[in-house]
Amino acid sequence: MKRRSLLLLPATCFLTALDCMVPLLRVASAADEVDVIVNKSNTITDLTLGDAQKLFKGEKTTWPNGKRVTILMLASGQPERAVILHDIYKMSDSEYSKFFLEATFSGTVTAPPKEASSAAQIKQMIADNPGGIGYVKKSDVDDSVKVVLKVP
Amino acid sequence: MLNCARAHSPERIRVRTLKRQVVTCVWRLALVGLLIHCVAWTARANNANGENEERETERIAIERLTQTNQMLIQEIAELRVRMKEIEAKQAATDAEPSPASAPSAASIPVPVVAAARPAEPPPSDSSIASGVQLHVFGDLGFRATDAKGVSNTFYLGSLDMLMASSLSDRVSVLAEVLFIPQHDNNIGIDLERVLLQYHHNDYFAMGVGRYHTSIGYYNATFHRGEWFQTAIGRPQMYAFAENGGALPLQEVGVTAHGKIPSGMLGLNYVAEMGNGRAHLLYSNPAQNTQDEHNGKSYNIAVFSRPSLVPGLQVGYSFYHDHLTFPDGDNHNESIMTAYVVYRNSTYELLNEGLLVRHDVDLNDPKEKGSTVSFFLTPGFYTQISRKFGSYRPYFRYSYINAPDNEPIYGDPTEGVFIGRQNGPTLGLRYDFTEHSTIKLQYDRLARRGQTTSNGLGTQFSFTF
Repeated sequence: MKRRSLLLLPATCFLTALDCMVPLLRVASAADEVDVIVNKSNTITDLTLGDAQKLFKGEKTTWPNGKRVTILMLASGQPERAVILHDIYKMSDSEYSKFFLEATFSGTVTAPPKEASSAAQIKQMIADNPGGIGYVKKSDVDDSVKVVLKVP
Repeated sequence: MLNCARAHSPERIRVRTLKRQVVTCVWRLALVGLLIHCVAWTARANNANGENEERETERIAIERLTQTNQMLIQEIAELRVRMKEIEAKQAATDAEPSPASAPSAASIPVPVVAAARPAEPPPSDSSIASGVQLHVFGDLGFRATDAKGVSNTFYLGSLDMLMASSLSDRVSVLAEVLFIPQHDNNIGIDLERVLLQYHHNDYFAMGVGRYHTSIGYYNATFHRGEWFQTAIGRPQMYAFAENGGALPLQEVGVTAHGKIPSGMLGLNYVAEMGNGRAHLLYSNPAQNTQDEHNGKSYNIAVFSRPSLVPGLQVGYSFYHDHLTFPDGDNHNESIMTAYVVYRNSTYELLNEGLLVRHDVDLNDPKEKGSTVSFFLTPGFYTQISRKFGSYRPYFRYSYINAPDNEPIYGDPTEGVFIGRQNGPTLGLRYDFTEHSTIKLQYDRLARRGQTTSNGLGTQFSFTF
């Protein structure tokens, strides 16, 4: 009996470990990628992550062509927003709110981010605003906007 | 022999064979189970992917249908307009005799459109017009102290209304109105800031109006918002005038700021010029409508935000003004600050040093016999805090030391008496919601020539 239980033990452990690992081994899908987009007339063709951070945080406020940067964010709860907050802002939602509230209070940011309710609206706002910068899921990108950075 | 015979007895052989068979079965079962898990895992992953892809496809299809719908509505509107034009032209040609071969208007099939209200253009979701942003900050609490002559009390702090709006792509306005209790228990209203700003680019932006001077770090970062500040109250060197402060923290004039091309060093500048302050410290220090003299104050600040260390800021500022007294006693005032601060979402480390110099004109008959041509008032504070979830414990030590015979800080008839003030502050901040906090704080204040006092305070601060 002792030998039987000893033989069963490694098999059970292995299977239990495998069960625990299954949720972690989620196959990453292409739909997870978020693309940072700008107006098609923007002369920028690509951005580094550092440049994107400066733009989204309001540290860089004008494009090389002189247009004022307008930051467009999706409303809270959208998964694309969570990606941008994590990878670009490196803040939680509440930290992001406090950051821009403090920046507005101190006058360092005069144009805080605008909110859009959907990917279609954000694309429309960017298409209508030469200085706009926003983001959508890769699957939502179309010819009306230009992709300058892929996150992650 | 007997044992050997027993060991090889048919029963024992059968038992051993059975055991082997059981072990083999167990291993086979384990292997089958492993295979089943692998298949299930693959199927789960594929299912999840499959379901995600299906939902994605459906969402894309719905979006495309919505877009097509909108396009069709627009096309219908355009067709209506064209139809009306055609009908108008037709009505005009009906008045003339038409050739037999030409088809009559009646024979042109006119699409019958159900009478419905005209299709309105879809609402413009793309506008980025800016309205007025209104934010309100407030604080209130309770404080107790063993200082003589000061009673324990509940208190209203201030109600701070901040309004900001973009008037155009480059022009914006900021206004801050403060409702603040006075020492006589009345509520006063103060136009704390009103600034019309023009933003040319990252290297030059300017503002005109009333603003908080960029002396050091704390004043231009935290302003009047108690909710933004970790601790209750400001460091002593940055106290506002109504709380016995020594510095010209508010100014009416022009301010310019921008980046200095410096690569990873991240240099920035601030240049300010204004009316300076009235010589009396307790009065409204910012000269809102009339400067006492033609001379203007100026302030130059430079700071670095190195990109290699996000959250670090190192800076220096130099302020100069000429204070004119009614009796003709004049003093040059120079204020120098230097600071090293580090702030991120978890840690806060603030360190600032201050040196105020007031010059004395030894040729002035009033200074006859005096040999001191200038007075120096040093000051500093250091503050450290760390966030643990919603809790943020903090510690601060403040120090300022003005000589007792200081011409500006040492004459009670001219304003607040600064003297030497120093002591530690220990406290805990708890964010019980995203926009409201409670702080508990202990202060120990030592003053030259007075008994050291201890204070306990609690403050509720909020924003909406």
